[in-house]
Amino acid sequence: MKKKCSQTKNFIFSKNKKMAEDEIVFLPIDKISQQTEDQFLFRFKTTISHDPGQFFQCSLLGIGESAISICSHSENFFELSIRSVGNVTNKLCNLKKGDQIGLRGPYGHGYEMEQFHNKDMVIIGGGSGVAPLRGILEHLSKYREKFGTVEIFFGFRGEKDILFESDFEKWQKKDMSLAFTLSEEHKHPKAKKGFVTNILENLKVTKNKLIFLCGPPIMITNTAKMLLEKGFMKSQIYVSEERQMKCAVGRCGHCMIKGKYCCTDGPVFRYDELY
Amino acid sequence: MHKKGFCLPKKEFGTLFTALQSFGEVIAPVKKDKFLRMEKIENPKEITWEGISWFSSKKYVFPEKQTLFKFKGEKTEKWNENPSPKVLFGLRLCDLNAFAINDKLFLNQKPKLPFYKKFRENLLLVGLWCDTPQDEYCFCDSMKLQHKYDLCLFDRGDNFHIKIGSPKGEKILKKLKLKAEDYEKELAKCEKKLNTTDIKKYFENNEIWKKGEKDCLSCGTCTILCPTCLCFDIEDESNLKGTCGKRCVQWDSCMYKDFTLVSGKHHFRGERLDRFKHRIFHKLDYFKEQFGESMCTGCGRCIRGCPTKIDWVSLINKGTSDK
Repeated sequence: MKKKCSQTKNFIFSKNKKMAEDEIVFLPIDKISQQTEDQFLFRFKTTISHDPGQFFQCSLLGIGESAISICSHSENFFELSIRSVGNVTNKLCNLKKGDQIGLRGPYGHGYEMEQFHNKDMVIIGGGSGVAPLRGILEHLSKYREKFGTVEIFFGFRGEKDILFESDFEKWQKKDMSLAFTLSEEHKHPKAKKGFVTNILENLKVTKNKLIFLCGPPIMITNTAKMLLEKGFMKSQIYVSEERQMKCAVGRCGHCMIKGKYCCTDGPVFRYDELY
Repeated sequence: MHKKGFCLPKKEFGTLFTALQSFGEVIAPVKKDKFLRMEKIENPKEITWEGISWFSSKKYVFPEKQTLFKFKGEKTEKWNENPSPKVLFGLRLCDLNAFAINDKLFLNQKPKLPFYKKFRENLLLVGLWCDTPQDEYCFCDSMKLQHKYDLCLFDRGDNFHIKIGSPKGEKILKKLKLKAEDYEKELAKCEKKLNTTDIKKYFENNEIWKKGEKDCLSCGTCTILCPTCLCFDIEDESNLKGTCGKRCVQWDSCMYKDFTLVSGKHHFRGERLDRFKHRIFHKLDYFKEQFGESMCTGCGRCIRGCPTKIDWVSLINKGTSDK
């Protein structure tokens, strides 16, 4: 998974409109749907090539910019799942269909799916970390025959925090197994109580498996530790890291993980690149 | 270093000064309220010839706060001003090298920061050679500095020997019709040394860093004074209604806890130890991996200016020699 950042070829509108490297393009929101109490799914119609796991810088002039990962995989649109947690995202979540958002990107390098053909995929996500993984799952649904077995493990806080639940059935129909946990007390018939690590205990270790991990920092640390203890190699694990990103082009220094820039070298890293 | 250069009698320094002024306003080290600062001067007599300026000169390529673009409604207007040409006179080799290092990050790779290029193109860098270290904090001779300048002055008693480092400098000096001469002088030998050979090995060896953790106040002075610390924040400013305003880039510091804050109130370098270590490793290791050379130029400002005088150079030397 060594490739220099694919930014230049992937810049928004690169197909039909020349775009300066750091230019913000305003796009109207095509569709908004509420996912949880404070999380919304935004859809933008545009033809744009991107890998799952890449991200956009969403800006509202006068308020600021926020890095949001792409959670879809389509040639006709892209979707961003935004949770209202800060200045920019609070305001974003109050917008309506047709309102304009400033976007630049997509940045970083994500999951290059062609490299994973014929592999058995294990997708592990926690909370909002499920969003970038949904891009992989959308890709898998489309090109299911090119991949081996697919196992999905998600963890959420409570019943009302489950993301993309409407997609679960669609994925299961495509021969992907799915299990998820809720850490709070709940009455959900399909969910188990606990953390995502609880349902990973029976995960079989094989050499052909690749693990795709994304979630809150503590969840990534604990899950990776558990997987390594089980016998997976570091080179089998891909993590999508979250960092504060300001410039998104490897200059501002905020997102540095040791010597790597999360925005240009990542946000998707193979585990042995970092630790 | 090449031997060739030109001879300028000190009593004729005024002619060089006039030639420099023809390029732009001259900014030179001036002693003012106990500190040596880089200030605009009109007369060569104002120059202080000894010492190293308290602040680095990075603000002349990357101001503390710089507008990226202005906006009105959804219309954006890029910053497109032309900075006035400036001569930075009397820079020490450490500061001259700092410009070259900053160029690597902001000028020589895409995408460029548009304002950086404009500021940089309008600068003429004139060095002043150090025959002796300026004070006990200098450790530049451990940092493999290179000859990076437009012009550089060497003090030879009654004369200056002037070396040309770029076509830009040559153009200025040509006006003076000076006599060519050969002269060579080694860089000052500093008492303070930094042994950086295998710093990577000591990343986990927290004994070295513990003193730093104990004394560090996370005040950010080191990053403000450092000539190559240019991590920045991007911030919007607007009127109360939010209808017009601007987006700015401003200096930030990896010493501050909120530098790595993400949603969920998680700090990736929440511990002081991690922040202290991160800055030093960025200077000595991470940048080297990316660009092949160290980011530190040995100017010593971070130790000179540190309120608790954390001497990280000695910490590393001590840690790496205890074997």
